[in-house]
Amino acid sequence: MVKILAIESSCDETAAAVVADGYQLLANVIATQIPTHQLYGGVVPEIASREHLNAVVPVVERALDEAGLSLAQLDAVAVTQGPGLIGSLLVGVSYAKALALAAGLPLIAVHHLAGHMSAPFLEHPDLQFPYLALVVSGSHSGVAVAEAPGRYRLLGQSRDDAAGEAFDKIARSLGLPYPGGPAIQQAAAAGQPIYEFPCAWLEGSFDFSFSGLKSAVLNFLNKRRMKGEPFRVEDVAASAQEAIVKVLAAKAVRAADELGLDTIVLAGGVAANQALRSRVEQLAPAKRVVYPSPVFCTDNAAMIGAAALPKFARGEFTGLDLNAQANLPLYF
Amino acid sequence: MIILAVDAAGKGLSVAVADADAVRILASAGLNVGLTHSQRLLPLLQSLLAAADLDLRQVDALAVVNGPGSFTGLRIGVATAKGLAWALQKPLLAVSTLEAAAYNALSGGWQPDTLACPVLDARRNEVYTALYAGGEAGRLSPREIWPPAAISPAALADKLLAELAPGQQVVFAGDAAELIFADMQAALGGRAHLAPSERRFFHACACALLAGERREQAKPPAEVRAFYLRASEAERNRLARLKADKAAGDVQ
Repeated sequence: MVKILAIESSCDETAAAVVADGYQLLANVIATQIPTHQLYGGVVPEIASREHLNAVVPVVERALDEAGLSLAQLDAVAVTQGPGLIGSLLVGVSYAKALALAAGLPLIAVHHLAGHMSAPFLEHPDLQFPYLALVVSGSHSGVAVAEAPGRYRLLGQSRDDAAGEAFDKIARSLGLPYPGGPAIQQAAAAGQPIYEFPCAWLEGSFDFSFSGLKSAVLNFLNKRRMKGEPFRVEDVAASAQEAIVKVLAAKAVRAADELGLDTIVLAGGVAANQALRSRVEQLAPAKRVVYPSPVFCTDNAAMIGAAALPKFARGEFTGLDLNAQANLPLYF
Repeated sequence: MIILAVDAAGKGLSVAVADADAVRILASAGLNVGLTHSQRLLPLLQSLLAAADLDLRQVDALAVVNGPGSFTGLRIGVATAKGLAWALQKPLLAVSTLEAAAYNALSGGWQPDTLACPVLDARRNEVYTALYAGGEAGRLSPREIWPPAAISPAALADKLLAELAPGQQVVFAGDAAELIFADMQAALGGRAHLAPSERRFFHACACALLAGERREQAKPPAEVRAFYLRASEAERNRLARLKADKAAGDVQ
């Protein structure tokens, strides 16, 4: 049985997992830095990098302990090469390379978004290619066709802010904590989408734009506050969430329809949003809609291991001169 | 006891293997060509070990130059050393970049009371620096006179002028030595010396030898930390803000 140790450190979670053939998850450890970054209202790259350097040894150690395996019993080490924060990535990449050299194991470089798009296999190993993937995170929002493992064709993506970034910025303007996605979802649950914020439909394309929405919410709040007109944070949160979810869901479903794909996969941190999940299911009742549990939506190493499995099968290994890449193309 | 040392903290990149009991370097390699440390470190180590017919399993302890220095370089060096140590189940020793550079500076046969002033590029017109004298007889580790600090070259020149006894010499080493040497010479005249190039950029040999002298300080790799000397900008701003808020509160 193939067993892969996977390491992920692209943003503010230090994570390690052990994944075996058939997408069996033998261990999954995530050390989050969210409480640290909340002091600053968002991720501070230099602090994130330093925290990774302190966390990487115990996190990997715990993953192997949980799996009941030693390094010598593994078949490969996989690591997120990029995209992400360069200082954060470098810690995981340097550590993974050192483990691979010292243990004589092959090294597998994984694209962070390929990881997100592979996460559903951990709970749905029967998932079949091709599928439509809506990848929505703090740094990327895209609609893609996953044709085969490692083959992703981009149909459209955000021209400005990623959906998760929009959630973060709107949350901050509402005085809600970082990360914004869960905070807005929670506030929205107690509110009604009574305000009509603009949606950028960008007709004729599968692209997104969220910067206009962000500005509209900021303007709305400024006006209300200046005039002393009351508003409920919960209602603004619900309205902003509605504006984001509406476009994401509609474009994903339309893309799946146009390409004749009967499976839609939601991936990335924003895929943990309950309103997005329900909306996609509601718009595509005849399709299979697959989304990971929240723990596999936000950054984790299990998804990196899941993406590494087919690479291992194909013998796609990388050398010890592997470098971390803040920007790394994925799509063709 | 075989110690493998790694230095990626500054402009140069170096690796060395020492027999600590014999206080002898067995193998060393360095690059100072501006290539990415992240891409060169392990291939350099691998080729050095192969050429020296050494195996990682012969290593008894790892050592790493843990800062100050380039934040990026420290992450690469310390994460790599931690990974090697953890995978080999060996302890890890941290050696300060400034101490290693001071050892390099003083190992040139200078008159006995000569001081070592390591200077490392800290950007923003500052250098990470400290001041050292030669260690006790029979000891390799230099003796610290000033603790590490980030200061401007002008402030460093003033401090040295006040510190040096008449006729006392000072040797500059570290990757910023060449950069500030003209200023130091202007202030100190013939008492200022520049360590030769091979002692300014490569710290792995010094790291391995100094680590061998303090092997009782070896730690499990999880406990070793990088020594940044400077907090991140966000932390510094936050602390300044908290301090200002507190001061404002005290006034009220």
